[in-house]
Amino acid sequence: MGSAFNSIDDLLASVATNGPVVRNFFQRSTAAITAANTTSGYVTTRRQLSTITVPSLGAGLTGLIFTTIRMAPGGSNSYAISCAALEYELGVLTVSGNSFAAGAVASMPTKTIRGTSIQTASLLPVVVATTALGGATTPALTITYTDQDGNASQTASLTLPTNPTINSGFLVTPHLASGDTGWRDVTNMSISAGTSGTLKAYGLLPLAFDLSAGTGANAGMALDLIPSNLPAFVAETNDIIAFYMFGSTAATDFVAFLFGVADN
Amino acid sequence: MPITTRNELQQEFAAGRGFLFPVKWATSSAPTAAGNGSNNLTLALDFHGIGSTLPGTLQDIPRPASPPRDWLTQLYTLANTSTSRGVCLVWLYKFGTVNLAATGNQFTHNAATFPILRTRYGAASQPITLIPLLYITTATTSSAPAFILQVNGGGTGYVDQDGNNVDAATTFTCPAAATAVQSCYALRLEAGDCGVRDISQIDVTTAGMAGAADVWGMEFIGGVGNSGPFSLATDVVFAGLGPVHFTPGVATTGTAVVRAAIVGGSTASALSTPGGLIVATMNTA
Repeated sequence: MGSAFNSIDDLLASVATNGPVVRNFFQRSTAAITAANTTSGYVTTRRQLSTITVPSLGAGLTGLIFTTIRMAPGGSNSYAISCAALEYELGVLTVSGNSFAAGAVASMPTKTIRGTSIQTASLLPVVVATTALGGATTPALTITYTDQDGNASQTASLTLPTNPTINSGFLVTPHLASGDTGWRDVTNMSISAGTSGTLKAYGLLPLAFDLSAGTGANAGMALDLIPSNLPAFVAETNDIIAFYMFGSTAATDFVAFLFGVADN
Repeated sequence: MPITTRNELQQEFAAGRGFLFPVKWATSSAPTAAGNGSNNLTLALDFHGIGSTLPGTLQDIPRPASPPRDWLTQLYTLANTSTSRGVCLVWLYKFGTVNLAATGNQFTHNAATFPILRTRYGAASQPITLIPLLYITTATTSSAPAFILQVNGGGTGYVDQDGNNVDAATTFTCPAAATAVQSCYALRLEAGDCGVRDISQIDVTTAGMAGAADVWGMEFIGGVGNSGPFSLATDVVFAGLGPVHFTPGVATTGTAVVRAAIVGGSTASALSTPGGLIVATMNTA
């Protein structure tokens, strides 16, 4: 992280000099998702199908700091919690054949937080059915991962609901090994039942949260980085910004607005 | 070296040594409004949604198991669909249960031994003071149950905030013959007392035809102003209060039944489909 977040004046100067990066996001309603239960994350989780890829920036600019992100569902998702996050694909399980492959990134990245380079680990480890599972009756999912301190071969065990539908996510946090709070990498996944479908393991670094008050409404609970106490993760070129919703299974449209300031 | 700066909080969070969890609370039912004999304060308790079946099965907020060090809260948010509600995030420790359908000594203490202990201002194993709550688990019928925090005929009913054994004289009376399930009230204490370390016995002086309750001790974590669909994110660092320890206390002996929950002041309505977010960072060694 460079100088843009040192002060409000620096942020304004960056906007004046480099211009902001503004994105409006709309996800057309997708199908209802599968509810979580006490063996699969405790909180129903939806991953929005579409994502935003951080664009290339001008010379000398290292990334974007999103000072404002607003999110709201377009349907009857009263009091669903929305999250925008940098998303890192750490592993892919093809259910047919029970075949695991490494994800699109080698592991969670390093990020500069308050002047110090930090090897990140995700406090929101999640597994998502990116295509619906078939033939999977309450399958046991075993995940081998590297924890927040770099200890490899840790194990998380979940029992998923039968045949999760596409975009259904399952938070892994409550099922991590004793003493663990997050993951840096996923090195293997296996499933006890199923004939089709794909599960992807992601690590999320949250950028903002929002709480919907009902159809198309924003509840004023937006947790942007400046008024909140969350670290400012700089979004770098080709980083993926994904959107998640917690607490509702219903199909819904979803809208978001993002305002990013270039860092140097 | 424990965390002492905001920078360290954020760096530990980024390193994955923390706790961030969206919470979707269960929907509680409407309580019966409190009256003069029940402290004039109507409360509603609510618990984590998936896994809870109110009022019998109460799910704790799922947290990473056995963290090696203490949690420090960074922020928490709560919301619900009811209007003009003050909502607090609390720890609840179960003292025991009371049968309101028979007279006499009707309290059954939980197997764990109280007081609840925690480190305070660097001193380990300090007893903490709890606000005693009555949580109706079986609706009362026929008569409004009444009781006194004492042994029938005289004897210690509770241990006060200073560790004194108290043989109470004040009667608590449920607000209605038909006091609804999930209603919650703060118990009445003797003049000069602000909380309890333990509940020893409850003498039911007027019984209903039916009725039962859990008796919980409440420890305050933090408050969130809440009006209708709006809620406020309580940033404990910017608020100047300092990070609150988000780790429950422990029983003197045995294992206490403990739940993280929300409690809302109410006139009659329920806490409806509320949601929220809790963020904490693990303290450094």
